[in-house]
Amino acid sequence: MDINMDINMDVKMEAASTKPLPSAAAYGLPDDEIMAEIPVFLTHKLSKNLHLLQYPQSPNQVKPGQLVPSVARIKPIHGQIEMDMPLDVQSPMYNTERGRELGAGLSDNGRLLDIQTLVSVDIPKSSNYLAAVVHSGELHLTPMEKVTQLRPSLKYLDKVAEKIKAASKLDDDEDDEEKEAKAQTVQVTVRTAEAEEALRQQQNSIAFMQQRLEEEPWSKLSYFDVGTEESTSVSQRLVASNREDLLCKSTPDEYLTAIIGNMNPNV
Amino acid sequence: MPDIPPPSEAAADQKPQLGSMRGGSSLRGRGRGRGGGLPSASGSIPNERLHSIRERTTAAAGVPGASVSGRGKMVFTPNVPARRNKKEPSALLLAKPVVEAITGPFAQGPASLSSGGSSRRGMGGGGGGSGSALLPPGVSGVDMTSAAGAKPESGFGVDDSRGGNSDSQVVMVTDHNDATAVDALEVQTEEMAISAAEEMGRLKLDFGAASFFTAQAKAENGDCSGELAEGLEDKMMVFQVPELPIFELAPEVLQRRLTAKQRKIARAAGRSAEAKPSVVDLDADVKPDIAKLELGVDIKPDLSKLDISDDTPDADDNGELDEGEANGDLADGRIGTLVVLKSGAVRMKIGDILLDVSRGANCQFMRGLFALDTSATHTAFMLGNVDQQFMCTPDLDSII
Repeated sequence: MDINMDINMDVKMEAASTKPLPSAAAYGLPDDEIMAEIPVFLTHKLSKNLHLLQYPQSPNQVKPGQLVPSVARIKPIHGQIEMDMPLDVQSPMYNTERGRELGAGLSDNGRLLDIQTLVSVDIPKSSNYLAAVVHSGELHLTPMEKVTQLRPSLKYLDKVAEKIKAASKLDDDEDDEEKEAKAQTVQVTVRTAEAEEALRQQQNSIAFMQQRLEEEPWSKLSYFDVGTEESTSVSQRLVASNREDLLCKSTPDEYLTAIIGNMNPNV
Repeated sequence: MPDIPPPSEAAADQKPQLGSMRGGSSLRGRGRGRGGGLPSASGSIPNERLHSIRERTTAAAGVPGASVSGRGKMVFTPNVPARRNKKEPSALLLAKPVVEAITGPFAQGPASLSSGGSSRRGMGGGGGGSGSALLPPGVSGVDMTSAAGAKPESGFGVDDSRGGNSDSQVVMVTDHNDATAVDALEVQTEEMAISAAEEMGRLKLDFGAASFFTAQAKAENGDCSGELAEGLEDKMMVFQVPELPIFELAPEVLQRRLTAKQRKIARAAGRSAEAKPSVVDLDADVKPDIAKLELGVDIKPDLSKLDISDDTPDADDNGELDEGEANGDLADGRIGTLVVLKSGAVRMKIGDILLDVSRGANCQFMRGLFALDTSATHTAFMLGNVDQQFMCTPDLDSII
């Protein structure tokens, strides 16, 4: 009996292994066979809030928790983000003397340069990116809002330079008084009214935007790292809750047109 | 011919009489040759009419290089050999295969080659090789070891008994020989193309995407396991697609959601109506019971019975699905299937669009997925590091 059962088991296993796999003809490869099928779901719950942040200065081996900012700020209207990443001043690789010199750009009380400020730079959208997670053997996709890079901010160097310049100015106060009486030649250019207006608009368009960016105050940004309860609850929204099939409104021709653009406007 | 007196006697007797000469210009001499009025061999100028140049030149016809022109003047025409017709080297000649017929005692090549047969053996059969080979006509793979025992007559180790003497012609095959170079080039090109195609095939089927999704991807026999890889649910991925098709809810799903929303509103409204007490007037003048006051019983209304639930609909909710809810914003559901094939290819079909999924380039820097809430509370939630990026390329064969 045991032998018969073993034989039956072997037959069943052989049958399972020799069971023909479904053909991949529906996927454009009729000579191939399907080994695994994963249903794909789409959700928009976090599509307006999802950002891909790139850290070009940090290697990809950084584990979650190693790159946590001490302070984070955001300008909500323009969407600019700043993060202060702490530096290990106790590390043997840290140059204390140089850190004290550069720390003057942060404060005047002899503070060491113990933070590296990362400022966000938006990357122009060139393609569509979707965040994907696998849940219970299903692939869930969420469109992303934008891609942003975090690059170091060197404003502390500007402040150090300003302090040096201010210190040298105090020494040259006497010379400055003499220089004021000196006549200076001024170059005068005459423009038409239209050119003047156009030039003013052009300068104002960029400068005005920059000025508006500078004028917007920073708001405190609360940061929750991966693994925290808040982040875990938000990450669950990456999984679609509805199981129904969605209807695709785009035909293959329309999809191709969307990719390459309308080559023949008369059509 | 008149007798010519001896020069000594004639010179003494006769003085030259220039005036009697006809055509004093005869001394000037016409033509290039000897002009007229030349003194005779006796040294004196004869009085009679000088012979014409023609007559004189005919007498002097034996002088080489001298010829008579039409008017009797002598023209010197040196005997110059005919001009060589040099043949300019044309490009066609240079392009022709340089198949030289080498003759002479050096036809068999240097003595070192003739003495070492092994070095020649390898060169004999290879056509179109980097070097050149000296091949006796009609023989390939010359084995010159036998040349050592050749007759010493030639002095170069050439075996004349093989049907060729030192003067036999030898066809030298070089790289410039089109007959062999072209074939060799074609062979090299074809071999290179085949190897390049094989390499491309290996690169394409690198099982990068398949090995990420499935447990095993055997590159040797091309089999992929159907089981999903371990730890796949803990990983964060990014898919890049050129365009995302437009999806919408099915009509029945839309109706179902609308009905559910209306029920929710009605339920919330009914709950709030039930939770409210019949008359709750906190400002009313409630006269306390003296007996309860003496006992210290709390006479304030119990507000704990009020049920304040979170699903209370907004004040402006009219029970209908807005545009965002009906279309894309909340249009979440199944859009297609991702398949891992036995060959290692990974394809995804969303709607009617077939996409080929391939692994993206390895990114050396860190990438994090964030959820930013900039509405009321400015909060950033780090959802995880991006482990892998995939590129989705439309299958144009199925689209076109």
